Order: sequence, then structure tokens, then C-alpha cells
Amino acid sequence: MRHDRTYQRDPRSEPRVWTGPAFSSPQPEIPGRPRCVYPFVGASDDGLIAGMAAGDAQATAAFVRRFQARVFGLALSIVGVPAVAEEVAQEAFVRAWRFAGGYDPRRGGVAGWLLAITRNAAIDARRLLRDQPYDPHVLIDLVAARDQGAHPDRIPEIQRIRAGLARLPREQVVAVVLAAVYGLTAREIAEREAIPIGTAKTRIRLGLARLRNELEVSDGRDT
Amino acid sequence: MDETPECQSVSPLLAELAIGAATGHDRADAVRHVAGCPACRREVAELARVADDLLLLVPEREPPPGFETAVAQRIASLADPQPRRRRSGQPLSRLGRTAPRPAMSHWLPARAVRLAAVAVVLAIAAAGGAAATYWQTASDRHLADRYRQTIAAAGTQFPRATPVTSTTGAVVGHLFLYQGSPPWAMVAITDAPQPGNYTMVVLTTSGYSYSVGVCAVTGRSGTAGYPLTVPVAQIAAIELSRPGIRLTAHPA
Repeated sequence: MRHDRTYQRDPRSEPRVWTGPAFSSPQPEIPGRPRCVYPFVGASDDGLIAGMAAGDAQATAAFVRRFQARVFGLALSIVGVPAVAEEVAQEAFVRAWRFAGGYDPRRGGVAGWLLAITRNAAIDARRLLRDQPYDPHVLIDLVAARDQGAHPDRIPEIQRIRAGLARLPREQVVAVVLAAVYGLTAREIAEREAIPIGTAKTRIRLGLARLRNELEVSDGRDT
Repeated sequence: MDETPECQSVSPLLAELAIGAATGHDRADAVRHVAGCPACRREVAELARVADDLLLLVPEREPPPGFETAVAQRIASLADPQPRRRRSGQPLSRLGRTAPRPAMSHWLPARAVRLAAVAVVLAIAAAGGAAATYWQTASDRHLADRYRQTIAAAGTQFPRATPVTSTTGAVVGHLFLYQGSPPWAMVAITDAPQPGNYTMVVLTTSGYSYSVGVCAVTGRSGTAGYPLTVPVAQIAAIELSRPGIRLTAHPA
């Protein structure tokens, strides 16, 4: 479904300098200097969501600071245009704020929930773009590479997922990533990869099932 | 997982559904089955979690300066929107800015709109022929009861109703939008030009569009209801289409 409206970004009047907090993580103690404490700096992801759902502006600000790099990175990977990615990322946080009250921790982590919102917003935006300058295979190669500046706390989880993905046949990785990250349908994947649609469906099905098995095994759960 | 014959039939579609790659009849069939099968619903949820895990692998990139401020400003504007006022400066409603203005008020009283919405819900609960796919998350009657209770609890936040028209301008049904948590869209087609599956797409005021599901029309009528990911106020239009046919509703 195409829409005729051009996706416009509002011009910025503020100077291109960092105006936010100078840091977003706990700072070391410096003798004689009062420790500057930002509320929610050490809060858990679930705690930030709860604060945001309760309307706490500081919790919302901390939430944005904590996840903005991941959200913007995903938006940029999908839409390929930085200005559009910035708008998409903003929209993702607005949606997250709006639906924070409905977040259910039993369904998965905060990061996955937020990135799914971001993906959907980015896919919506991408459908409005007539051109698709990005190459999804670039992302696929990046997915298979070493860590891309991720926070140290997240590296073990990222490595676990990447290891699981590495055990899949290349064609299944392509199908699963094109669908899960870029939101391509089975038909779109078939057209892009020049394969029958049945083959695309099979690659998605087998790839996702196998990835789940790989992650459950590495997580110690029964399959 | 104990599989029924229908589970076995739908099983190959669950991964596509979980990952968002399913479309058309396949998606409609899978959604319809999953809505009434807890085991398959769990399977889809697990596969969706795996798919979402892949998003964690995407490289991080710091947004441009001012990003935080821009987000804060957008949220602040949504958290405290300006009330709509008459020219005299008085609010449109004594209930203040949160009271939605019914889209059909120019030709139906507000109470009649609310009753019409409830009637449609009851019709969904009672009818056996209309293929309201997402409404089969629980039994139709149970879901209809929940919807009526939600309407009652919401007080005057009754659903907004808008006519659905064909390209010739003929009214073929009605769209009901409800600003709840989550917001809902329900379409009731009563005079469709053609039977079949109509893809339902939401167009937002920001220029985004996304597909919410399918409205299956049998004969000339069909109903479907889906939760929305955007507030009702941000919906510019909802389109229902199938090859050669486009039906549209424009909420005021």
C-alpha cells in the first residue's frame, strides 16, 4: 500500500551540539566532588518501563537514553536514510510510551519489545519510500560479524544469538533475517531471492524452528 | 503439543505468522486457528520471541544530537494536548478534551451511534456466518461481553463510527473506532460489492500505512475487529481492498 505523502523531516533550529546529559552511566566517585546522581541511571529495564507507564518524565528520559542507540541503529538499518530513521526512532519511542502500560515481561525482555515496535515503525516508513537504497545482505553480513559496539553487559546474549544463527544454512539465515528484521513477506523474499514462494516459506519455517532449537539448547531449556 | 487435524494443517504457517511474513488467505487461516487454539498460540508466541531476538543483533548507532529533546517534546505534546474549544472559548464538551467527537453526529445522534456499535458487537456474538477473524480470540459471546463492559466502563467514550464507502460513494458499511487501551477498529460491511477477503489497511495522519488483517465477506456482509497500534485520533483513513475493489472510511 503506497501513500502519496512525502516523508518530511522538520528542519532543526538548535545548534548541532550535545545538549543532553554528559553521561548516562554511574560515574566514579571523585574525592571532594559531590557525586552527580541521575535518577533511574541504575534502574532495571522493567523499572524504567514501569516508571514510564506511570508518567514519570525522568524514567521516560532515562528509557530513551538507554535504548536510543539500538532503536536508531535498527531504524537506520531498515530505512537506510538517516533523516527518516531519526523520525522513525522518535515514533518508536512515542509508541513505546503510549503502550508502556501494556508491556508484559512474561512475553520477553524490554529491548526485544521496543525493537519490535521500532521494526514495525520502520517497515511502515519504508513502504512509503519509492526507492530502497539499502541492501539487506549488508545487514546479514553485519549480523554475522563481531560485536558492533554493544554494551558489555549485552555481549554474552548477542554472542549466543549470533552463534545460534551461525549454525543455520546461509539461505535460511537470509530468509529469516529478511522477514524478521526487514519485514519482508514470503512472496517478497521469493521475488528478491529468485526462488519459488514455497521454497521461501520452507526456508522461513525451517530456519526459525532450527534457530529456536539452537537458542533453547544454548539456554539449557528442553526443546 | 497435541495436534488436531487443523493444527497439523496450520502448523507450516505458524513460523510465517510469528515472523510477520504471512499474507492473504494463509495469514487469515492461521490467525483464525490460532485465535481459538491455545497450543498453537503458545507456539507462535515462542517463535515470535526467537524472531524478535534477531533484532538485538542489529548494530547500534547513536542518533543525532537533540534526539532526546525531540522525543520528550513529542511525548509532552501527547500527554497534554490542547483542548478543543468552540469559538466562544468554551470546551466542546463538559467532559473536556478527552471526549471524542462522534464522526456520525451530522446524521445520527451520539446515543444512536453508541447503540449501533453495541448492536454490531451483539450481532458478531450471535452470528455464525460472519468471519470476524481476530474476534475469535475467545468465544464471540465472551469477547462481545467484554467489549460491552468496556464501553460501559468508559462512560461517554463511545466508539466513533464512520461510514465505509465504495469508490462510487455508496455506503457499504460502517467503521467503529474505539480509543481504549488498546485502541480498537471494528468494521461491519453490510452491502459489499463482492464477497471474499478484503485486506484492511490503516493510514495514519503521519503518512504511515500498515495492514491490520483481513475482513472476510460472505455474501454481502462481513465483520472484523482488530487492535490498533496508533491512537484513533491519528488515523486518517482505513481502507479495505481486494482486486479491483477499494472501500474506504475517513474518520473525521
